[in-house]
Amino acid sequence: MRQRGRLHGQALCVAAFSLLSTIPGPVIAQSDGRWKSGEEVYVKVCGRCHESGVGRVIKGRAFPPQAYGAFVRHGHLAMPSFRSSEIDDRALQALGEFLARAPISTQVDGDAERGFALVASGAYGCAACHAIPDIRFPKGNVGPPLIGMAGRSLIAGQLPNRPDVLAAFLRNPPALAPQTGMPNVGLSLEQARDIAAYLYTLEAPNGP
Amino acid sequence: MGRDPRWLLPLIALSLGGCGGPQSALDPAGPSAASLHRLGIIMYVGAALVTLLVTVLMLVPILRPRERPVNRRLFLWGGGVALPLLTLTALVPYVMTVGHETRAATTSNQVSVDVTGYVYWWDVAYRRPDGSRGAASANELHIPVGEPIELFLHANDVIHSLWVPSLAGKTDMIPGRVNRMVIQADRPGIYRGQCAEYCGLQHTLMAFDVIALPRAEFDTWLAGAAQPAREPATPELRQGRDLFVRLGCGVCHAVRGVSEARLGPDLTQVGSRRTLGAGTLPGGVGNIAGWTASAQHLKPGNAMPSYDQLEGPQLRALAAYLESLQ
Repeated sequence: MRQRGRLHGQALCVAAFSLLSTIPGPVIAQSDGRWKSGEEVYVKVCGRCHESGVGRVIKGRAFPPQAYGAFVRHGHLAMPSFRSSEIDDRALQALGEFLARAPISTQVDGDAERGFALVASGAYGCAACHAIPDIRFPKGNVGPPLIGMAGRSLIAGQLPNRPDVLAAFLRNPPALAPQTGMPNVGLSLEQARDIAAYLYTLEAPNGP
Repeated sequence: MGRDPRWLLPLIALSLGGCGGPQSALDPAGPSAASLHRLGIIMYVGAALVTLLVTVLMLVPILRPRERPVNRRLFLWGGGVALPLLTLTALVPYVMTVGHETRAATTSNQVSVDVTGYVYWWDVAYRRPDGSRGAASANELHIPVGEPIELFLHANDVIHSLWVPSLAGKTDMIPGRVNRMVIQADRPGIYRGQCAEYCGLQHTLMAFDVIALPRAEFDTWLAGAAQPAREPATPELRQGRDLFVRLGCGVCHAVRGVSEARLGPDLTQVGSRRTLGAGTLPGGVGNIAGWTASAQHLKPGNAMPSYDQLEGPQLRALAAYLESLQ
């Protein structure tokens, strides 16, 4: 009877372990090597927010690798903190190294330099209404200043600030925001994407 | 190695690069500017020679202090009287002929234009054969290439000065007077001009363009400019035209067929102009909207109020209507 009990106990232990090992994801957090690369962490965890326009763009900013680790462990404003049971130290190190070298997200499907050239040409009148950091004259005050556009929550106070929405808005503002004073200046889709890419380089003056 | 003069080439190219462009007295495009340019070269070279001579004379006693005393009479009468007399005798009559083209006579069938300076913009009106005011524009002067054009210069308020460095020297515009000037462009192109007499707060932003076209293109342009503004074709443009009338834009601005005022620039072809606000902004619907809504912010002190009480769609309709006036 006692022996049977012990056997039962052992069987239960084995069953419990095998059950546990089948549960995927964060529950078995200690297992080193669960994350194959920093990029995988970025795509599966960070990307949920930072690639969907919920969190700001964190690629292409070239901070030292440890800086990313500090944000992950401690959280920042609305960003939650992640424990080592969720992202182990080695994976975190790899994530930091990946992000420190990662170019800006390709989701902004445009060329910021070409976009700036379009804005600076003056032909589309951007600066006649908006103050733009890299343009000395004119500095319009009809619409909002464009500094900090990279981190602004809403476009025209009503649309989510996502690359695709911004490009569509630039192409035909009244179509997305009927009450806007911003006219359709006849940009092609490619030009609108380039300008959007440029606008996403405009950080708020006091940093992240 | 150190003697190789080739390193100078990029420097020379760089400094010469500054001589060209749409507004440069060093890149003349007409007979009047060319003769001024010639005079300039003679003056620069002459001044360089005089500087060289004086420097050498100054160095002689320093480098060779034991020489016999100088001939004072030769120096005083030769260098002090004879040399300036000779130079000036040659130079003064020559200078008087320079820029003669600016006042040359023209024949009766040539283009005559009245240009009037206002605080911070230019009114341009082509004279009909009978002398009356014909097609009008602002801040842009279209001319045919290779013909002397007669300009009658007026001023509405203060003294301005018309200067297109690539085509001619400056001529003042004085209230109560009419100054006559003849300009000519020998090759097609766009030449930038600027008010050259300080006239107030926005003197800087008082530029204009001379657009030199082949005669046939000029005739087409002039015929188009004399037509009434085209009728608005879409509901938005009609709304824009109605706003233009209702907001009182026509109290200052003329749009041929809609309003006739002459306090501000003629807007009959504003949509095709290269600049807005006399060189303040490039053209285009975005700039027209920005200028309309905040003219006082962009060019403080100009006569146009900021129409900042418009709703977004109204501003867009007005800007679209103005941009359609081509």
